[in-house]
Amino acid sequence: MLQQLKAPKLPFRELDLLVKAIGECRSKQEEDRIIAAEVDTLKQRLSDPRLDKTRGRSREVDTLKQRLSDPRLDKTRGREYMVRVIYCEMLGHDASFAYIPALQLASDPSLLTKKAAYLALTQLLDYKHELVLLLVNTLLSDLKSDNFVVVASALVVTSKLIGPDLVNAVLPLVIERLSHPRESVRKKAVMALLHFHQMDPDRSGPLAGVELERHFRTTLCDKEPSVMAATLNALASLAATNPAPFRQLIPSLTSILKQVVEHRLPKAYDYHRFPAPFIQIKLLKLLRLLGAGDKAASDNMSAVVAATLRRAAAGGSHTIGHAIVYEAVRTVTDIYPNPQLLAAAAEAVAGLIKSSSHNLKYCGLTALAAITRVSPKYAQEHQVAVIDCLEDPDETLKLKTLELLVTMTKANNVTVVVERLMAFLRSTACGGDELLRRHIAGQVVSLAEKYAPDTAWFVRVMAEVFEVGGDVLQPQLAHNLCRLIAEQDSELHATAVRLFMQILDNGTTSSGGAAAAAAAGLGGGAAAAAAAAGSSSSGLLPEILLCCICWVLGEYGSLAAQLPPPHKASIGQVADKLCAAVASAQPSPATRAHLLTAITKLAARQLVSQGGPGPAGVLRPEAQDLLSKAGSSSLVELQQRAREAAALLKLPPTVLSAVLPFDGSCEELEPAELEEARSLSFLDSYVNQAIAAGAQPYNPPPELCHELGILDAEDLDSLGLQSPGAAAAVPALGGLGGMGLGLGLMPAAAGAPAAAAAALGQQRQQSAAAAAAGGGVRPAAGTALKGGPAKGSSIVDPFKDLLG
Amino acid sequence: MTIKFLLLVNKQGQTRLAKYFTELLSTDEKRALEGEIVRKCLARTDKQCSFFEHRSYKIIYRRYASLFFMVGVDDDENELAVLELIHCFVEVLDKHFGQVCELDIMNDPDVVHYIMDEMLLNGCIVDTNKINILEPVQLLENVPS
Repeated sequence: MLQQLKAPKLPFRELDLLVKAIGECRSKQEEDRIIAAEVDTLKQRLSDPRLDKTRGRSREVDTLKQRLSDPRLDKTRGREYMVRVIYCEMLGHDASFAYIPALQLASDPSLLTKKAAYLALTQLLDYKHELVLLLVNTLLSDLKSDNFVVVASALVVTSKLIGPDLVNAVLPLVIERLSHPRESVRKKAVMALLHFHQMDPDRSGPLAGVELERHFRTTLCDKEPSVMAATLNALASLAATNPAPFRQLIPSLTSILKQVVEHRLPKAYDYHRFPAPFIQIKLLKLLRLLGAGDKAASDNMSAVVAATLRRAAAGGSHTIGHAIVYEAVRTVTDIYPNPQLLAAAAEAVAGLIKSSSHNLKYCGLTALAAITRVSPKYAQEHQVAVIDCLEDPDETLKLKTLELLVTMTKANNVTVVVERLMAFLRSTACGGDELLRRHIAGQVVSLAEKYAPDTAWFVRVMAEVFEVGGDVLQPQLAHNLCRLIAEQDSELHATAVRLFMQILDNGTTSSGGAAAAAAAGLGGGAAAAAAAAGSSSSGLLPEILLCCICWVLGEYGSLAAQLPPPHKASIGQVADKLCAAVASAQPSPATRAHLLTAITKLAARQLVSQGGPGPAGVLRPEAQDLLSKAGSSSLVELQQRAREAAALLKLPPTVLSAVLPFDGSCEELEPAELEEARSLSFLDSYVNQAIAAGAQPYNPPPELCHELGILDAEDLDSLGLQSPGAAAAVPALGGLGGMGLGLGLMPAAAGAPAAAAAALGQQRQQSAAAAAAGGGVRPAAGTALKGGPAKGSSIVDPFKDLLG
Repeated sequence: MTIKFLLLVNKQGQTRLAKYFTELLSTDEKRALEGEIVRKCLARTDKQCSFFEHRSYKIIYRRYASLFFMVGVDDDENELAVLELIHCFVEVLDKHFGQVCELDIMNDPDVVHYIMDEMLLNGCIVDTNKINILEPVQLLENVPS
């Protein structure tokens, strides 16, 4: 409907044109044009007449620039210009040209101009800006003005623009204003002091030695409720960091609250027949801060909190009444637990949850979560209502309910809760919001870890979470999962293999929901299967899941032959599936490295079980293809693994079964064995032989010498290098660690010696691999990287010379 | 109570008023934030809550005719109270302008800011007493320009 155009209060002004133009414009570009022109005009009018010829498109900005830059500035239009400047900034244009003119206009005697200039400055600047310094004198003289409106305006500016360095200049005057005859001034002076406190909370700067608390205690008892209310803000801020000194105020606060709820304040403070509800809420908040964790304090306030709750609940069904109830319940749950108060609060919350308004339900759920933390029994009564909220189409409400469920989770309902969380994670509501997904995925992981009923369920849930939320989870979780699987018995290994095979199957044919479908196949539950149908993930398996799959299938893929159909598969088929899945997912180098290792292990297993290469050759065509591609890859890690694989697979099966034992990843080594592996002493005779035959002795890089104790730290320093620590010999690949060639060294010991031994081991192994026919000794681990991302090396790549 | 910002945006996404408390954002950041929040508000239906989360803020909004009043707070805030604060603000505007409409706000944005300054400072509620709030503002009317 057309609104009546109000008669402008000032004589005709260009602002009206501007407003009309903005109101009628149809597109952002048009708006930009108008504003840019305005800026130009203002610039002209307010400063020197130097037209900005390089301007782009907008009219208002240009106009403003012109006007504001003109030395013959028409000051009677000061207010108008300032308002136009505010418009320009609000619509996204830079208004820095107006800083100086605004500063000038702030000292204008006309009240309207001054206020408008102050407003423009508070909108454009903040307390960190250097130009604020130029404002201080104006502020000081305004703070002393006889006109209370001027003083009040100056105080508003002070609370926004005065930074820590300027506090000293204005502090004395502001404190004086605390006793100004007008309440409008006093309450703003209180807020200015609060702002100063926030600029210097430790009292180490300009406020050193100033007893703000004393001032606030006085204003708390001010005869005007508004000043008292402003003081409550200040007290809340102070008490938030250190409540103890303020507990002595509790009697005064409870007495004030009592007076308020008994309607003893002037009627003007009523809002929809509730007495000063915002003040009640402030008081409840403050009491909450002061009563938390302190029984005596909480006892002092319980009567008045109960009375407030009762009256608000009885005051009729206005939102503000519910707001007071909500706040009172939050207070009850945070102070020292009081059974009667809690019962009253629970009753009030029941009312909120059962209401038909979504807003009230939302607050009811938050309140219920708070009560549950203190006293779990109340949650049980409301389970039905809570589950209803879960079905609600409003996503905000669903999320709140899920959070409530998380606090209510115990071992007996964890499966249900996790299902719901996973369903939410898959739903579109979660889709774009990464913070939210990370939060929910994190909740699922921690709940699963805390309350998992059995390992199979845990593995299944983790696989699901990896699939849906893999991109927001830590890679370390995959490592943990694999380790967990490794420590279990073979039944779980078979289960895990079946699960991952299914994921691969589903992942390659349909988009997303692969893990859920697999989980449903394993008896996961109706919700999981339904979710699989409506899944919205991108169709590619996340890295974290691929790494897990590679490792598990690499280690235990041979068990697939023992599974009942349709899951039964030969080793070759498992290898094929792996290759196909990884090929389609465009994985990172780390994942490809895992894949190579997995293929190697599978092939080795096949060789061992067949007693030698079968009629189809050692490797399937795809696997062979992958290996040869990797063998000439530019990434050192991949090359190395490929060549190792090639070399290893030429070994006779007896040696191979020792080198790559089945399920040996969790074997513990004796300290003596570990030492032997570290120093590779068993190879000494071979090395000496080679040297005697004329080979060059190995010159390890200086960092490794330090690791192995050959060089001191000073020698290293003189060479300008640093000890590599756990990052030794690791080309910067990032990603998972600890997925060695499965040679039985999941290092329980410190990573550094193992890694250094690894580096050393690599070099000797290249030449030693072919000749390690010596009986049954396991060479040191291949790429036994220690967990966590490798630090980008400041060290020379030790493989560069060998493979370069 | 820490209110971070208060925005008045119309259904077409045009900002009519923007007040930021204690949040030090650049002009570009502010405008980007406003755009994102408005889009989310416009996408919501009447059957949903008046609250939602956006980045590190919780947004509480209310629609009056063509204007969205949106308040951003940090967490652990009493959402119902903020909802009523918005309504109280609208009532004050109504009392001052008489049947306030979007055009009033566009014509006198500075007066709207002054009213807001009487009610909110540095993100805290200072006063909701309409008489206290409007007295200094009405005095400005009588000042010769």
